[in-house]
This record gives sequence, structure tokens and C-alpha cells, in this order.
Amino acid sequence: MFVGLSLDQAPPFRSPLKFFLTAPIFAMIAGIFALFSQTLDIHSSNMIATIHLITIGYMVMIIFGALQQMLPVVAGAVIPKAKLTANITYTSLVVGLLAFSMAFFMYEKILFFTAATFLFFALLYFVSIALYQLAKVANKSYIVIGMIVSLSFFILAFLIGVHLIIAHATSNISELHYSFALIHYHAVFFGFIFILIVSITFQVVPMFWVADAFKQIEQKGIIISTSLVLILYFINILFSLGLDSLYQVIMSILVLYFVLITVKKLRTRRRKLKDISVYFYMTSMIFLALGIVYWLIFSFIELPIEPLAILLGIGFVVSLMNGMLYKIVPFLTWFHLNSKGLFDIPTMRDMIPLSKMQQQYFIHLNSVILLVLGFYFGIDIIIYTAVILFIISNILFFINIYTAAQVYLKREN
Amino acid sequence: MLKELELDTRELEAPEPIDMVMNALSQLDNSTYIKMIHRMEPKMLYINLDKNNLHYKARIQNETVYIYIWNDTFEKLSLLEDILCL
Repeated sequence: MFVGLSLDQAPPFRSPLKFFLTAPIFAMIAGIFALFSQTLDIHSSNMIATIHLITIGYMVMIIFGALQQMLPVVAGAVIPKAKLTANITYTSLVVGLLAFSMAFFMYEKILFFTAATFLFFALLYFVSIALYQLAKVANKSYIVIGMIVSLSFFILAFLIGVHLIIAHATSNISELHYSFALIHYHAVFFGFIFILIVSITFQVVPMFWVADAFKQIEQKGIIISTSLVLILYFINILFSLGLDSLYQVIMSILVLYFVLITVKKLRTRRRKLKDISVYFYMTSMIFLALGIVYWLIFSFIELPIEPLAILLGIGFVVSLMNGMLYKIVPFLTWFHLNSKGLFDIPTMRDMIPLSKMQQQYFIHLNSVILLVLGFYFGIDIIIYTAVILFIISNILFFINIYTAAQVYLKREN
Repeated sequence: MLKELELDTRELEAPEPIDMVMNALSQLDNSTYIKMIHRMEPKMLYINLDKNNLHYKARIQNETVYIYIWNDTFEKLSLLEDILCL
């Protein structure tokens, strides 16, 4: 007789959870770094630390947690020895990030070395395992292909990043240094983050919001075209073919097409219940579109670069991850309670109070808008206000997802 | 007589489809099979069907997924095979 969902191929409850709960803590630390920064110049040491605390401490932390949970759902694949792999990755990431933060604070070479070693190990270790498991999937859907492509771009970006760091450290700056840096940025954003988000969106939008499934032609079109355009761009950079504007236009069309079909699916979803995760997803898509338009204008008119980073980094990526975790964590809780054969499980909607999520959403939205305006007009008081809102938003975000996790933790035994 | 238990989960959000099917599994017998209709392939359901030693076959038509599920005691497999065109 059936006694509950099988946990054979699902990660233990705490494995992805600790990644999800740690992410907002690093976002708070990033905010504190920015608050105490002497300057808001994007190239200053405190701001570099802030940026990496968000990209690695928040974004990568959530991506790694989500991958552990998504692989069985998307591909029927799973990270082997899930608990051990999660613990090794998590510990290395946390030690690396703490050393990284302290390194910028204390300017100790040993801390930079420690940070680089632990982060290098954590990133390459987990991505290699995930990539190997995905490669083994027999009938690969475009979602699986997208995830493989994304993680491959991550490895490329990572190796180029290592080269750039070594070049800096040894003052051995070659003629191709700037070209490699450009490839690094584009491989990270479009290759790794954008393609991964696209692939996960194809899975979660129909799954969680009862929207129409993305057509095969849409999935194939966006994933394959983005990958090809990106590879051609890298060739263009290395051989100085001068096709940068063409690349920007084609990439922008692809991104805007993705925004358009995603917004359309969400707007025409069949169950139009009030859902804060939809607010976050829609907000994320709007900021992605605004960011891409800003990027296009940026190449023709002299504009500050910081609003571009805010629109794409916080407006697009952080908003999306925020909304996605409001679905993923309750799903994780529900799944593990169900596997225990319990019958009085609350629904996913009942696990986090709607009003609390809504409150956090508006604080987050205001922080993004104020960050963009503050950096665009160069008004420090607006930026600092936005940073405080960003910290508050992440405190509330932590409390909200912990509330969902507690539903399981209270009944664990 | 062949009995079909149709579960149309196209209008349900995760995790309701898998929950609905798992709750219906106890109704499978020597003449009853489940026909699940879904918007997408439920990979996690497949893992759980395997775990419970159940048999299934998925067909995709017009972007809709039809999953047929039966157990070891099912005696009308030839009739079901005609439906599935196996």
C-alpha cells in the first residue's frame, strides 16, 4: 500500500534548505558592506566585495540549492550522496565567502588566498557533479539541454575568471585581457544566469501557476539561439570582427521575446489567485526588459553603468529568485511531509502568510527603484535609503521562508 | 470490464496533480487503470510509480501528456494495449 512519496531520489530536507536560508543572510551582509563603504564607486574594494556577496553569496547559493531540488523534478536525475555533496559544497562556499568578506575588510593576502581556494573548489565541485548527472539523462528535454548549456558556460566563465585573477595578481596583462573580461561577463550573465533562468522558467511557470506549457519551438528557439549568438559573439571578440552592435540587437530581441512570452503565459494563467510569487516574477521580467533596453541605449549614449547592474542583477535576478523561493521552499516542505504519510498537511499557500510576503515584496520593489534612481542621478542619500530597504527586505525574506520550513521542522519527529 | 479512472490535472498547480494521482493509486485493481491528463511530463511521479512497482505509459498529443497507470494485478492489459496502440 502507498504510504507517501518516495524520498529515494529527493535530497534530504536540510540539504537545499540551508542554501536557501543562507542566501538572504549574505544579501544582508552585502548591504552592510555597502552602507559602510567609503565610496559608492563600483570599482572600490567594498563595492567589489558587495557585488560578489550578492552574486556568489545570494545568487549562486540559491542556484545550488534549487538545482538539488529541481534535478529530480526536471530530469528524474539526482545529485548522488546528496547530503554529503551539499555539506561539502555549502561549507566550502560559506568559508570562502566569509574569508572573501574579511579579506576586503582586513586586506590580508592569506584571506584572499583562502577565499579563492574554497570558492574555486565549491563552485567547480558542485557544477561538475550536476553537469555529469544531467549529461546522463537519457531523453534530454530542452529544459535539460538548457541546464547543461548554462552550466557549461559557467565553467567557461569560471576558468576565464581564474585567468583574469592570475593575470592581475602577476601583472601580466595581455592584449586580450579586455576581450577575456568581456567574454567572462557575457558568459556569466547570458550564458550561465539567463539560460539557466530560461530553462527553469520553462519548467516552473506551467508547474506552479497553471499556465500553458512553453511550446517546444519556443524552448528550442531561445536556448539554442542564445547559445549560438553568444558563441558567435566570443568569436567576434577574439577576432575583432566589429559585430558588437549586431550581437546586442539580436541578443536583445531574444531576451525581449522571452520576456514577452513569459509575461503572456503568466497573464493568461488559468488560476488567477492572488500570488506574491507571480508579482515577483512579473517584476523580474519588467526589470529584465528595462535592463536590456538600458543596455542597448548604453552602447550609443554615455550613461552610468551602475543602474544597468541594478536593473539586471537585483531587479531581474534577485526578484526572480525571491519569487521562486516562495514556491520552492513550501514545495520542499510539502513534499517531505507527504513522504512521511501525513494527511493533515497544510497547502503550500497556507505556509507563508500572504500579507508578510506582500510586505516584503513592496520593500524589495522600493529598494530596487530607489537604487536605480539613486545611482542614475548620483544621489547618495537615496542609495543609502535603498540599501537599508534591501537589508530589511532580506531580513523579512529570511523570516518568511523559515516560516515555511518550520512547518516541516515542527513535525519532523 | 475495463474501468478507466480519469484524472484531469491540467487545471491544477503543483503539487496537486501528483497528490491526486498518489491518492488514487489504491483504487487500482485487476480491471481498473488510471488515465492522468497533464500539461507536462511529471518526472517525479514516474520515480514514485517505479518505487511502488506500478506500470505506466506516457503519450504526448498536442502538447498534452496522457499517462496510463496500472498495477501487477491488472488483467485487461491486451485491451489497454489496444487503447495505447502498443
